[in-house]
Amino acid sequence: MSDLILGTQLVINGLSTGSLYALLAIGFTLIWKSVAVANFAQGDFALIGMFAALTFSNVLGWSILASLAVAIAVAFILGTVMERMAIRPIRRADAMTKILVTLGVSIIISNSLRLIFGPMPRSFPPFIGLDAFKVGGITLVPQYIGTLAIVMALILILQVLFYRTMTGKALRAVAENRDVASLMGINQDRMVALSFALSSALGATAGVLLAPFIFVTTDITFSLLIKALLAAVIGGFGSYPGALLGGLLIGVLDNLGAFYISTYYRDVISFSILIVVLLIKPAGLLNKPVRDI
Amino acid sequence: MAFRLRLPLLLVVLVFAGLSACNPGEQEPIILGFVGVLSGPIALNGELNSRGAMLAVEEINAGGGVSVGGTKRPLKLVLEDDQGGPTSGVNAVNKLVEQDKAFAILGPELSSVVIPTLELTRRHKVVQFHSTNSLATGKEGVHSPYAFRNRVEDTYLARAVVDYIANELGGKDRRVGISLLNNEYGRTGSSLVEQGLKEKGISVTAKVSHNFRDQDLTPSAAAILSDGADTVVTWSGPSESILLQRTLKNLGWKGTFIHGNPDLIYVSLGKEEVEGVVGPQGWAPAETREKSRKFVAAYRKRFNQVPDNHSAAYYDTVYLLRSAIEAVGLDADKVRDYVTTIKKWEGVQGNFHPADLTGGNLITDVVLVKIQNGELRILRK
Repeated sequence: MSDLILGTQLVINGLSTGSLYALLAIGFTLIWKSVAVANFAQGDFALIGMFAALTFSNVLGWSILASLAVAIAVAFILGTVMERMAIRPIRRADAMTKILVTLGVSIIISNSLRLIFGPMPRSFPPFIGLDAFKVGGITLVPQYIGTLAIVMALILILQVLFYRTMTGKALRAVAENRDVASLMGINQDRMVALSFALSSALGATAGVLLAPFIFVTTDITFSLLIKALLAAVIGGFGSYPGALLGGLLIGVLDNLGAFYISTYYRDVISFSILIVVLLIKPAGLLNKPVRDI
Repeated sequence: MAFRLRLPLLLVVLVFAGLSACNPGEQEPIILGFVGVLSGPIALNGELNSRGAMLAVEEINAGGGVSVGGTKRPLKLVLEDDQGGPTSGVNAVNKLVEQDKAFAILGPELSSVVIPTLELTRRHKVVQFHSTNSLATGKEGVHSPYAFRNRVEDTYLARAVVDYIANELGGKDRRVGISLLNNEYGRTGSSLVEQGLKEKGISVTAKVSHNFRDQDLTPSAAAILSDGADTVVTWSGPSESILLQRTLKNLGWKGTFIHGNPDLIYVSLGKEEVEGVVGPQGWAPAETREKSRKFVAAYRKRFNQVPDNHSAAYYDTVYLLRSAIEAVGLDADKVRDYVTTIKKWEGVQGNFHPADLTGGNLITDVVLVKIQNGELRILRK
């Protein structure tokens, strides 16, 4: 197999994995924009999605699609609960307090899941298909292609939500300026809760889409969180298109760098990309630079 | 009247209390401190390790306990979680030694946790039986005379892989790719394999690494394909090894896959994807020796599952300790010397012969297994 074909393969698989990082990054950005909280539990929402879907599918015997849908709904509700119990009381606190609280939530979620489900990794049944087929020498796995397609469709839906619906406009208004939005009659608390719910649903969606590629276990949250953060920062912290671009870039460049440079320095390559981007564009790729006053 | 009754009653109560306190049937237990990963990413290993020790302790206690100076004393296993980290591991050993007064320490497993605890057990003069495969713990300056390795070291496992490739897969005709987990276990084991292959004149065409819980192993698989390897040896965790195999298969690779540690976790995770995979082990449940068969039957009855090499190692450790204590008493230096000079002691895993070995090694038996119909079949010993 030629290196060109292998390189193309890496790009395709990287786009698929990167799209999942993008989903997580968009969820991360959603919360940042609504309450200026860096949510360190974002990776754990992916876990909730994975384990909930596994439970509904393996224990209750539901169909895969029903399990996925309900798992995402469960995460949606848990996101609201998290906002109400952990974030709303500290909304006016300093940044460090908010970070610590989300770290605490992350620890509670991952350790609770480990207590309930144990440490054994579990396989997750593919719902699109893992049987590869070749097109022009390039191997395509339906699950990879399907994942990319689903994520792109979700992003389009989010675009419609944010820019074509009153709820979306309200969300954007609260993200822009909470106090002014409140003065305009928008229920700030409800919109912030919705942001958390959407963010956790996005995290859970990323989790259930990723699950067929890996073995589901509670100790992947940190690596997912790091990728989401990298994607969000590279793309431009606070920018949704930036989070998408950042995620796709991380997925692709991670793979290409590991293959063409060295697999030993995979993480080094990801963080080097971050440093290079920030040196050239400190606000991220798609953010406008912040002017000093 | 009331006062006259109270005094005799009090005396009776005191006598009974005194009698129960010095009941000759109750001997002070011998404390064995177990340190393992009981939470976190590889908690399953810790659970399997502790089960082996638990079963042995229960069996010995059911038989009356350990004979010490003419009396039988029960064993008591105290479990501590090292959480896979050196700080927690050191704290756990400190607690077991200083608070629980453990006579011996069983564990830890991870080399990064074992190494700092060696100094502790050396200082406190407590015998320790750890289960890391890594060479680092036996090196000059690191090794403790009180510490022993209760499983076969990576050197022997790697040698078995090299011999298999050299003698049964066509040797120099093979182009071998090595994939390793980017930690001390993966780097050390894979280096041993690479060195052994080079000594046999077998070319290593690719050497790739991945991190724990990497989600996409396409770069590693692509590098192996690009360099034309027809045989892949992984020195990695079960999940990562299976993911690599899956990715290679998706990319159309049809070579021979060898995994450095095909245990029951690997088999149950991989299912049909790992059929035909070959690899080295210190012990497999298919072993036919009587001691091994009895252990498998007892473990199955107790835990309702087939044991694996982790459990076998700690089971052997407790019985070895019993032999030592019954021979020389509860003296750590004497137990250390006794164990060090053993030429032949039969355990579940095979023949323990530390007198011929260095670095705290106890055993060198290796079996080469092949996964067939979801079971570990022994190819050769």
